[in-house]
Formats: sequence, structure tokens, C-alpha cells
Amino acid sequence: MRYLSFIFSFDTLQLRPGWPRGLLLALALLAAIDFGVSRADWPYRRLGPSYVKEFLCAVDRANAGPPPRIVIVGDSRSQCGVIAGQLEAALQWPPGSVQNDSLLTGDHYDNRLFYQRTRGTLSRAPVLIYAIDGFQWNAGFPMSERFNHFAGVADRWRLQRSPRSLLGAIFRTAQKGSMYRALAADGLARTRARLMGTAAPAPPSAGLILAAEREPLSLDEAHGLDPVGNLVETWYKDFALSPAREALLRDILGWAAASDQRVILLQLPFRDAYVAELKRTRAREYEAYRQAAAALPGTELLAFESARDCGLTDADFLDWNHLNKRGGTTFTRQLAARLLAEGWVEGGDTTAP
Amino acid sequence: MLFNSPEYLIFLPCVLVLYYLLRTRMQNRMLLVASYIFYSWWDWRFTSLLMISTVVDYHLSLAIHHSQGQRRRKHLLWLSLVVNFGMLGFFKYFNFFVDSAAQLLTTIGFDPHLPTLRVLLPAGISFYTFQTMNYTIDVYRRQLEPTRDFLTYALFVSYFPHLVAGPIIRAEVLLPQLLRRRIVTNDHLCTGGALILIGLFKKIVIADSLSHCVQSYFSHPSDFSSIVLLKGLYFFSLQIYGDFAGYTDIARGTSRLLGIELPENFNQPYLSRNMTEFWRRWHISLSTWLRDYLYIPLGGSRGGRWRTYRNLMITMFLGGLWHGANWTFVVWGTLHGLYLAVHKFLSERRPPPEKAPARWRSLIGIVATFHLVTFTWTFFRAPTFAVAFDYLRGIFFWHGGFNLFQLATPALFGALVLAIDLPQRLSGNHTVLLRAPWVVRGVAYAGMTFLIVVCGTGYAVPFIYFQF
Repeated sequence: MRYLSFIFSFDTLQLRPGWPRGLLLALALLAAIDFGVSRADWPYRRLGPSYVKEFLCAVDRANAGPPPRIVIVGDSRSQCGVIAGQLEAALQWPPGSVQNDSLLTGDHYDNRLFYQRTRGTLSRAPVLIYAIDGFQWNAGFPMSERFNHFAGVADRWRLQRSPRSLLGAIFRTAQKGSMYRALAADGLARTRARLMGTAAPAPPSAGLILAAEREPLSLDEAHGLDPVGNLVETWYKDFALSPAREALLRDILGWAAASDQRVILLQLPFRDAYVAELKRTRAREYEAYRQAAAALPGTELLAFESARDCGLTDADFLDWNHLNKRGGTTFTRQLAARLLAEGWVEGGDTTAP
Repeated sequence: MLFNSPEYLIFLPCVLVLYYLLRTRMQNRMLLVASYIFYSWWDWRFTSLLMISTVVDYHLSLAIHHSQGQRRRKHLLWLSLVVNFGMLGFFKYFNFFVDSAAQLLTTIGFDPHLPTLRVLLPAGISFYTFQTMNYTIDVYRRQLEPTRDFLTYALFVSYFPHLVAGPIIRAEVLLPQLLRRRIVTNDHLCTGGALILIGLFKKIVIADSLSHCVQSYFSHPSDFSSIVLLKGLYFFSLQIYGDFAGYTDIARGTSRLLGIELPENFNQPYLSRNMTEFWRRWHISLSTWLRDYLYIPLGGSRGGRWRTYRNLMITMFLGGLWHGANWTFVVWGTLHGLYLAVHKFLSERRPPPEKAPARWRSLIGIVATFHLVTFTWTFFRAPTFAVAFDYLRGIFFWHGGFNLFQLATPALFGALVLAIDLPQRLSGNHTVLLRAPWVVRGVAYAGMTFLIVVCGTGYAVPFIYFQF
């Protein structure tokens, strides 16, 4: 005890009792802003394109309609590469039978949250196509913007245990700057419209949509792309298989199994140069991710790899890994043929979904 | 570790909790360990330089103190200066001098092949070497009795709030505070917290918000119209002030939470009425260091008018070189030396009025001084002379129309700076906010925190002065 009293002493702090009223008021105001605006969805619904808005719109859309026969969940590559209308046509199904709910930068966290919020509708679809990519398994790949908005402390502790991420649970800072600026601009525009007696600005409707409708890429544009090594490096940097992230996908698989839903894991093709670079620099990591995906129970794996194998050329891509409209059409037809050949779906049924 | 990083948000509370629980002597040991952890966050290898500087100056100052012969004392002082300047010269100026010599030799017709080194500049080396040097010089001058307590001396050198970007503290200010028992009261916590908040506001809301624009304008000045370049210059003037004064406020606030007072380093410099006043208000710890250890030993103002001007020029020339190993910094410093000399010349020819100057004259003085300082920042910010001259040419040879709206943003940020500085200037108190009614304080705290969160870029932008 004497030794402890040699080290410790409690007489440095000599505080007078009393309430720090200014500080408490500041905390109350900040809490009001944090819970009333930062954590709320309404600013995103009201403002222009954002990752969060894209997610919210997709959830609304999925919950509004009848359950489709095939639902596609995944990332930007499946958003561009699988064209719902084309798949319906190829399977000779009526419109609305296939629903592509892929999200930009959609990782397992986004897709799990999406499935969770739309489970009532989507779990009634007989087939779930889940688009997979290496970054979704990589513990070193940053979580998406939606994670920054929606994730609580427990998720952050489990999935992205960095000081920035953990502190972000309090103020949820990612993209907040843009959100508040846009909110202020929107408020100003409405006020001005009210004062001038003109019509209020129309709220922008769309979420983020990749330019999948673009025409095929010209050679000049292709040369203007970032070096392919950058993309490979971005996806596989500090690669380590993340059991925590995979567990999110396993949750989806569990829900799907409970609803007797067939799950097909789909890897879309890449440009040949990308595949060559991937195998040259990150073959081990790529193989590790593929094995992890193949080991998931109760799923079918449909892994396309090289564009050449699918009869695609560089002109069918927007960039290194996203198919454009022409490439998407070609690929979707192949996908339909494969689904039919494997007996996972039946074509030619014209009854409503 | 940066003051504006999430790591620091975890580091500081841990240090504070431990600090408040420990006895004074243990507090110093814990602070020493914390300071080395703080410093090694950049690169643990740099701590060896810090240790060398600490050990050398601790022993040499004791040896100087105990030596009777003036000759031996002088030799020991020279040894300390050689070690400190040697480290500074090697890490900061080696390549600069080699490149300059090579250019000079090339100009006069030689084809030199001089070696250059790829060395990293250790963070804060200019600051802590100046601090250890002033300690040894003060001991040599018998103005200070050296401490025998090595750990306290090591803490004096490495004390983390001021380690990497000042203020450069005199031993007579900091050492007694480290040796005595500290008490932290409500007042310390309130003023410390307020200073940290104001510092973060200056750094994140003002400096970081402007940094991208400034970077873009100074990268390709020829791509922009004159009014945009002028805006960029105002932006940089506000950015560097927000950045450095913000750092100092956080350092002082942190230290105050520990019950240790650090001196002011900025005192509303952009409200100065002339250049001499500006240097009494800007980076005060450096300007007083240069005054006491360079300008006065050179003769100060004792040798007549022309010697005074010469001394001012030399002092500011070296002050410029202290900032960075580049001739642009030298020109920046020399221009300031010139302004000081001209101001001295003018004020000697026309003695100051006995009555206080009229308000409008003060206002004109403030505006003129601000613009002169802002103009000179061009050389400080531009990476090369070519860019600096491109930039100035772009402004002085007007092109691209005159859209006054372009100046609205600098005016807005200027107003933010003024909103902080003017009340401080009028009250003579950096935490004047604490005197406001609690409702105003609460709204101000919330507003500043909100803007810090919203303007934060998501990653810690390094402070400009860390490179020095």
C-alpha cells in the first residue's frame, strides 16, 4: 500500500462542484443534430444522388413490388452486367420476373442489410443470384459508404476496428460534409423560391447509377483508363480473408435456406488484361477468395473469369471490369442459357411472377 | 501523431487519466514515455536523434556550468552548437547546400558530380534543436542554472504538446513548472478545452478547407485568372495562419489540461498595424529566439543605423532559412528583413505621434500590413522561384476579367478569423469566449464542433509547420 501511495495521488485534480451548463447545452445541441439529421435517412431522401439514397431507393422499390422469380444482389459489376429485361426475354418470362437490386460498391454488409430490410418480399423469390468479388472477402478493403451511415458500434468493432471507424459511430462523418452542404443549398433554394414566388426545385429522384447505358468504349478511351495494376491492387491490398465479413453473407444464406431459396453465387467476367494482371500479381489471394466462396454451403457457384471465355471483347466493357450495355446484353444471354442448362430455372413460362 | 487525428483523441484522454492519478514525479516519467510514444508515431527511428540531442545538451550544459575557465566553457558551448547544428544541417540542409553548390559550379563552367542523400527530415527537428540550444546558451551566459534531474530535462525537450511545432519554450518558463507539483482546476479544464476547440476549428474549418484550392492554384498558376490567383493568395494567408495558430492553440490547450502553461505564440498577427508589430505577434517564440540569440549578439541596434538594418536583414535571412532548405524561404525571410528595416527607417525619420493614432490610420496600417505579408507568402508557398514569379505575374499582369464575387469566399473565411481574433484582441484574452453567458457558450461550442465534424476531410491533414 505504501508503494501504491508512492505512485498514486489524487490531488492533482482540484475541481469545484458545479454543472458545466455551456458544455451540457452544446452536447444536447450536438445530440439533436446527430440523431435528428446525421443518423436520419430523410436528408438523403431529400437530396441528390448518394450511396445511401441509392440503397434507400432500392429498398423502397423492392418492398413495393410483388416478389420476382429471380432477384440479383451484388455490386456495380452485376448492376451493369446483368440486365433484368434481357434475362426475362432470354428466359421468356414476363416483365417484373427478374429484379436486379445490385448496389454500387455493394459489399456483404450492404447486401445483408438490404436483404434484411426487404426479406418479406425478396425471400419469396425462388432464386437469388448473389454477385461475388474478391474485395468483399478482403479484411483490408474499406467498408462501403453505407457502412459509415448505418453501422452501429458493434458492427464497427466487428468489421472495421479502426479509431476512425469507431469514432465515426458517434458523428458518422463520412460524406456528412457533402450532405450538410447539399442540405444547406437545398434549404436556400427553397427559401429563395418561396420569397420569389417561383416553383420549388424538384427533388432529384435517382440514386447513383453507373453509366451502363454508355456506348461501347472506344480504344482511345480504353487507353485513358488507370493502369490495370491499380485496380487489382485496390481490391487485393493487404489481403486477408475476413471471417467477419463472410459471416454477413452466411446470414443471407441462412435466411435464404429458411425460405427454401436457391442461391447462385455469380462472378462476372473481367477484361482479359485484368485477369492476366490478377494472376500475375495476386494469384494466391484470388484463389483464396475463390475457395472461400466455393466452400459456402447450400450454394451453386457460377464463376466466369475471362472475357474471352464468354465471347466478350474489350469493346464490351466500360472499364477494366464493368460491362457496358452491349457486353451486358451478351453476357445476360449466356447467363440465361447457363441457368437453363443447369436446370436452376425453367424457361418459357409466361405466367405472372 | 497528429493533434487532429483520431489516434490523438484516444491518446490524450489516456494520458490525462493517468496523469491525474499519479504523483508529480511519476507524472513526469509518464509524460516522458507518452512524449516518446507520441513522437515515435511518425517513425520510431527519429527518437534516437531526440535522445542524442537530449543527452548531449544535458551533459554539456552541466559541464559548462561546472567549468571555471572561460576558454573551456566556450569550447563546450561550441561542441554543443556543432552537434545540434550538425544534426540540423545533415538532415535538413545537406542536399540544399550540395545542390546550391552544384548549381553555382555549373554556372561558372564546371561540371560537378556532388553526392546527394535521400534522408527523411525528422519531424520537429528545427524546434527541439533550437530549444536545447537556447538552454545550453543560457547556461553558458550564466542566465540559467542547469537542472541535475535528467528525466525532467528530457521531458523539457520532448514534452509532447510542443515537441514538433513549438512554441519554442525557454527553460526558465517550462522547467520550473515541470519540477513543481501541478494542480488542475476547473479553470484549467475550461480554458484548455476551449483552446483545443478553437485550435481544431482554425485547423480543420479554416486551414484544411482552403488547402485543396491553394494546392491547385500554386501547382499551375498559369491556368487561372488574376482574380482567382489573388483569391488563392488570400486563401494561403488564412490557411497558414489557421494551420499554425490552430496547432499552437491545441498545444497550449493540451498543456493547460495538464496544468502546465505554454507561452502564446500568436497574438492576432493579422491585426498588426506595421511589420514590426506583425513580428511581435506572429510566431512569437521564434521571433524572440531570433532576437535574443541572433539579432542582439550580432549587435542589435547598438552599432548605428546601418548596422541595425544589416542585423535585421541577417536575422530574417537566417529566419527564412530556418523554415526550410529552399531559396524561396530565404527570399521570404529577406523580404521581411527588408520590410523591418524600412519600417525602422521610416519610424526613425518620423517619430510616432504622442497621441494614439487615429482609428482610420490604424485601419489603413492593418490592411497594408496584411497585404504586404500576404504578398510575401507567395515565396513561402511556391515550391520554386519559377512558380512564385508565374504566380505574381498572373496577378500583376491582370487578365481574365474582374469578378468580385470570387473574393466572397476569402471574405467569408476572413470574417471567421476576425470573429475569433477581434474579441480576443479587444479583451486581451484568448479564451474570452468563456466570459460569455452559458447559452452563448453552449451554442458556440456546438457550432464549432459541428463545423469541425462537417468540414473534416475524414483523414488528418498534416500541419504545414511539421515540415520545418
